[in-house]
Amino acid sequence: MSQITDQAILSEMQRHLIEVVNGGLSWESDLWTVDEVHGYLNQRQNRFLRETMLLQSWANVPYAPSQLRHDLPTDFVALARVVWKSSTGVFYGLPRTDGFAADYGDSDWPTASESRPRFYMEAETPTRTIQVAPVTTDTGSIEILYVALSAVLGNEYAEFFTVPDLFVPAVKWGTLADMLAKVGRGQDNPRAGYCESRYREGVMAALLLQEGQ
Amino acid sequence: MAYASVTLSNLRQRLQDKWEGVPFWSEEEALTAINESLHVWNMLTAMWKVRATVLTTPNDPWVPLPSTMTYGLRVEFGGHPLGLSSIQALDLAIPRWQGQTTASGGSVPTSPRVFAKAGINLLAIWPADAVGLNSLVVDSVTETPVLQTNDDTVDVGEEDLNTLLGYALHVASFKEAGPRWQSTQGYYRAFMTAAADRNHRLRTSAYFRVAMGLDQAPMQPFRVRESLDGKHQTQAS
Repeated sequence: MSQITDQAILSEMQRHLIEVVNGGLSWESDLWTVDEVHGYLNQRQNRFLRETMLLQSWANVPYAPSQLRHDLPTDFVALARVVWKSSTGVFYGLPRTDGFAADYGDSDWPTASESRPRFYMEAETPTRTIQVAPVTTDTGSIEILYVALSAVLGNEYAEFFTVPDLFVPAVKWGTLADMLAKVGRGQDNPRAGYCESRYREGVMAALLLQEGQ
Repeated sequence: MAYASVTLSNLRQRLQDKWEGVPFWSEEEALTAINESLHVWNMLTAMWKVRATVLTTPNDPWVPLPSTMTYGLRVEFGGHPLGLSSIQALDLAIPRWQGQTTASGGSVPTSPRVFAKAGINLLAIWPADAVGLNSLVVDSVTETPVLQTNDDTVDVGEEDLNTLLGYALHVASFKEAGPRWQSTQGYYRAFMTAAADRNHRLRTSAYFRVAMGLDQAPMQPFRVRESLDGKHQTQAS
């Protein structure tokens, strides 16, 4: 977690946009509302985490024997890895597939039962749900590495960014891109484009440093 | 490399020297622009690093890094370096690695040999330490120094100062928009080029090559325009 607060960055953005500087408590030009800017800031931080898979959390997903679909954690954003842990404590990595491939590869998969699941799917499942197949009566568990939702920025009190401090400028520029691209009196497409490229710079740097992982 | 411990006061003065007589920026803006230049520099070059000790958990291959460590570069266990691998490589080469510990016996080593990263905040070691509470020495990139008072110092090479201050000026000029801000784009490109001199991986990325001004092709699309006789002509813009 970063040691930079949302209020510090909101003040920076207000200086960039020649607004009254007050930690984002108001936008005197009336070009943007407080809630709107907080929304942009939160969306950019979560989008950054999803695009880069930078910060990963570990969780145990309860497995109901003989059930295909299982609920993912409430703070779930994106899956990085899924592992089946059998009742005897043996781990098996599950590759990702989708219903189309499974239907053509093994059309019995929805009803077949094996000693352990062989793959997982998330393309056709409801939001925040994972499907592992074939089903098994083993009382094992599903362990996942996933990207979790970030801290909610823009509360009454200063909140630290979830992304490490090196990447906070990228989130700031991304938020400015959203603000300056908004259709209205404050629209400034050249600067919005520049801000978007600075956000992309942070994403690319994060991906580059994870290359080969 | 001539490292210097530079004070915020000194950085402010040098930035002031780059501004015109009646600056359009406040002291606070100078401060945030300087700090942003340090953050982005650390992101691109992994400039500031730290060595820290993290304790293993019994039978658990996952080792979370403390928040002061941004991402691990090198790991030692018991004075021996661990080989760098990846989660995917471990899954493919040792399918049951996650359940193996130093007490598993057979062909499993009796001390951790390999580490892999999951994102930048989590490490996996193989095999997991069966005893636990042993030390992993981790060299990692650390948080960027944040300057707040005039006496605060930052270790940075003298040869990089001008580049960092150029970036700060570029960021501070953003609010002016128009030609004044556009004219500082050269500072930004110089900053990116200097970063790539320190981190050659940046030069392998098409995105960063454009940002450095090395690859201009995507910025010069072919346009089709209609000539006076009504026929279409294609030319580079």
